[in-house]
Amino acid sequence: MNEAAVVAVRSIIAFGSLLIFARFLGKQQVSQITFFDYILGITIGSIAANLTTDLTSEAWPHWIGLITWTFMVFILQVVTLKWRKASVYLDGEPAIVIMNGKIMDGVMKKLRYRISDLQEQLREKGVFNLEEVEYAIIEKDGQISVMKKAEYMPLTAEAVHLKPRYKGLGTELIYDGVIIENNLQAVNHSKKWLEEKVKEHGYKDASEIFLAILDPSGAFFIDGYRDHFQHFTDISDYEGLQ
Amino acid sequence: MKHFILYKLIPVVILLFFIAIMQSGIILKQPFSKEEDILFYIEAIESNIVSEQWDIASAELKNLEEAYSKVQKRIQYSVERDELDSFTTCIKKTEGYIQAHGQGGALAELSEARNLWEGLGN
Repeated sequence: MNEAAVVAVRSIIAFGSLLIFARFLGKQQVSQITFFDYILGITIGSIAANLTTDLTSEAWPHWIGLITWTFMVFILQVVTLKWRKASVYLDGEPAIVIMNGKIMDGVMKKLRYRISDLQEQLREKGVFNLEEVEYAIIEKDGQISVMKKAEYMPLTAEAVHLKPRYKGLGTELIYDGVIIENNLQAVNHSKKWLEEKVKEHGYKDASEIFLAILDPSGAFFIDGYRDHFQHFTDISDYEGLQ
Repeated sequence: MKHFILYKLIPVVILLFFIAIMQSGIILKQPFSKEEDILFYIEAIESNIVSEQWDIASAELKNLEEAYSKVQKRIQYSVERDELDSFTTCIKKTEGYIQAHGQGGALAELSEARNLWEGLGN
């Protein structure tokens, strides 16, 4: 038996299957990952790893395990999507740990959530003083959402009656030296207009541009391959890179 | 149509291809020519051992080894390594028993080899 060849073929099977199954399950696994989803992900990955390197058993039972777990995750997704009660039962629900500035110690005990955990997560959100918090909610994925007291909220344009210009999403017009013509048409500009813009910024043509973006307010961001720095900030402490 | 091909047809075809590789053992272990007929050689060796024709049994065992090395190459992707190893061990033990003219041991090993071969890829 040529073990290397067998492992290579099994790797392709595991990799391809995992890719297709992950696409089939959608983005939920990554964006709304709960503790259980995390375990599911690890288990599916572990089965795929066994499929690849465990030559003491056939690839087929491992693959069946892989598809069964994927299917069960899919069923769970459908069930939690269709029935709210099932979603609460299976995925849990957010818990309020600070309400009106008061720490809900009973809730925290139930969640086995320590005050040090709360402080750590608040610090990660840029809150260093519990006094600033009006509401803090532990989401299903373990992340904390914080609502500060009004006096600690950052000043907004609305508060000072300002009407900032609409920004919207920028459209990439040049990427890696290549003009993206579809996008150029979408923003109703011609190639000539873009070439003039490029020249205005001191570049010869699009081939010298790494990235050019136009936002709905008309602001034009451009970044060329030539970066003229007199003093380059080096954050490395490894001399070999200099 | 393009969406259907990219997101439905291609993944399904790929998965079916993977399934075919993983399940190919049962088909690929069948002999493609007379020289690859493992079960035929096992039977031939058994009958020569029973009639104590040790030289012919030894020659047939060589044929069995050659046939096995050909078939093994194409079934290795869909069967267990341990089963292939066990089958190899059976052949090697049979070789020893034939050299020592040990009828009982050789027949026992061949019987196990047949059992392993029949179960391979199932």
